[in-house]
Amino acid sequence: MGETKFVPRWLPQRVTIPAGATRPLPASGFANTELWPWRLHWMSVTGVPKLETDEDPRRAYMGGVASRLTWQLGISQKGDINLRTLTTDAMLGTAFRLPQKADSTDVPFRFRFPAEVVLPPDSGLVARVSNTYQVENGVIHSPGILVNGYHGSRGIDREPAQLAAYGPANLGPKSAIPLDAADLFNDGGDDMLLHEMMLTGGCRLLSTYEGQNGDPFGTAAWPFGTAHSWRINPTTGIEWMPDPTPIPAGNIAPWNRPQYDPWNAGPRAYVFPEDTVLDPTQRLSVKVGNVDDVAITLNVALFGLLEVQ
Amino acid sequence: MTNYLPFAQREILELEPAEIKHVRLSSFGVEGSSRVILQDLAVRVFGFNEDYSPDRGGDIDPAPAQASTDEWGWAGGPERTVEYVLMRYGWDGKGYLLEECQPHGEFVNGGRTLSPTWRFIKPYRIDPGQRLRAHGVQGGRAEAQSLFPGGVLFFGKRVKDGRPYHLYATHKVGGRAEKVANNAVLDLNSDNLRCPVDSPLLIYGVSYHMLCDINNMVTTNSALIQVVDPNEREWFKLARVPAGNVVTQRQATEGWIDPPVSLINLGEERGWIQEKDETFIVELENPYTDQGETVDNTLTVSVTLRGSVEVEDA
Repeated sequence: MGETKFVPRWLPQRVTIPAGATRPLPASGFANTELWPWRLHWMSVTGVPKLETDEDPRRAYMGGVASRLTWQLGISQKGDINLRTLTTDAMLGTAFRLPQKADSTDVPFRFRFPAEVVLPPDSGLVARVSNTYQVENGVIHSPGILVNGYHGSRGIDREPAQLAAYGPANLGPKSAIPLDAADLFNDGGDDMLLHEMMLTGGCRLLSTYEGQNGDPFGTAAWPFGTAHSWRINPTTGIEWMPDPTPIPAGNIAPWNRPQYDPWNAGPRAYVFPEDTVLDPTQRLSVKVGNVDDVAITLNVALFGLLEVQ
Repeated sequence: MTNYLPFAQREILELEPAEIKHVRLSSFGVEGSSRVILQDLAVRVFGFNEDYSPDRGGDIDPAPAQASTDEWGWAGGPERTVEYVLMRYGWDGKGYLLEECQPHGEFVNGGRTLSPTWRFIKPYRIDPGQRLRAHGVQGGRAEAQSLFPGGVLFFGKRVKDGRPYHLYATHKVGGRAEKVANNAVLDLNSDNLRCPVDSPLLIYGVSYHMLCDINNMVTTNSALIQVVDPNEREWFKLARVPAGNVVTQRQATEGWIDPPVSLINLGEERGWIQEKDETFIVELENPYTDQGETVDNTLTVSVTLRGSVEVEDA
């Protein structure tokens, strides 16, 4: 047996659950199609708030994930993980991890790798960020990514290292940009060990959306977990995000709480019991029940580390 | 025996549009010091509205005539479209970690402090008979006069038996009626800041309490707490202020014990240890290319570095 290398792996799904219905997520969505075991860490969910006006303003502001959903999880060939159907707050509202408050001025969505991930010399990351802000004409400004890590082994020999890139412009609605890869490249002489990753959807969100009294919200900043979505992969080796769908920052890094989230769009996350492993060909089955009287659209993402031999 | 002396160093600078400046933060020259452990970095871009709104106790000019107040009570009026600074950091002579500056918010990997406490990255030892000194310098406008340091507390433990032990001092005041003029120096000295004779203490952190008048904003009128160790070394140092006396009291005095912005964690575990002849350097760049028509795009930025200097006692 060779040394085990950890490769982060995210799989996203976007589903709409009709009113009053319970639906399984598509069976192929959370399958381990690799040759190696996939150690599951958490499953995250974000809502998709509808912010255009509607007849009922409360309805227009729906899209939350907190209380009107129920969840059932199980692994194929192994049976259920949770024996009871639970609501989002009961199962995905795990409070034992204190979330970082993400805001528009100085706090990004922070993701800490559960184990150090190796980025070999002369390889890098390719990041693509999409504006998935639900506000009509919602613009995000200067989205960026920064990865902290080190060269060298633990202790005194450790040298800090960073990878970073940002798009120095407004990113319009429903558009995406690849971030400059030059600064996302490990051009050091040795391996870089990645420790944490920060995703920011903008220094201040500029919105032309008007409030209920007709005033512009101006620079009020709402870094929803779903306002900016990402696809991040290494230039060599096994992909982190094989699905071409960009994953909302809140789903990638669920241990963050947007500074302003009146719609309860999340993110929330369910932490798997230790040593929950999806073997090759196994899949995670997820059933979501919607107890509201309107359809709810959700982003669900599964995160774990592939244990590559 | 090794000891770790806490330090906080702040530099405040003004950046014209498209201007790039460097900040060198070198902790302190302490004889016998071998290494410096960098704990964290706080970068604050002072907001246009914060400085100019009378609603927020601003102390430069009244708000522009066209200012309005929105539903949250924030002053409106002309405003920069974005409020951030571009930055990168590294060591002088060894280079920056990044090729290009990035928005400062991207670097933030620590949350905002929830209590006015600074926990040291390494405990600071004080020996029997030695004492700390502390005082506060009142900030804010001259007429504000109402927020002053209430007390300071160092939490630690006795080396001889591991029991918790606090050093503390309180400013005794006569209630709300007692006003304190700005720039007034308030002593926080007390025999309770002296290490007991029977055992050294390991100090793990410091916290403070401000007495606050409800009519005045904490963020604009806070007092600067200063701590002086037995060797007359001040823990907080304002390294440089821009010319022209444009720095407000608040920019100079606001928390170094509890910075009002989220922190960029550095730390030993992440490799942020420097030899005594090395200098931590931060490059800051104003992202604006020109002045706005109605808005001054000059940025005022403060950079605060905290850490511990490792010293060997004689």
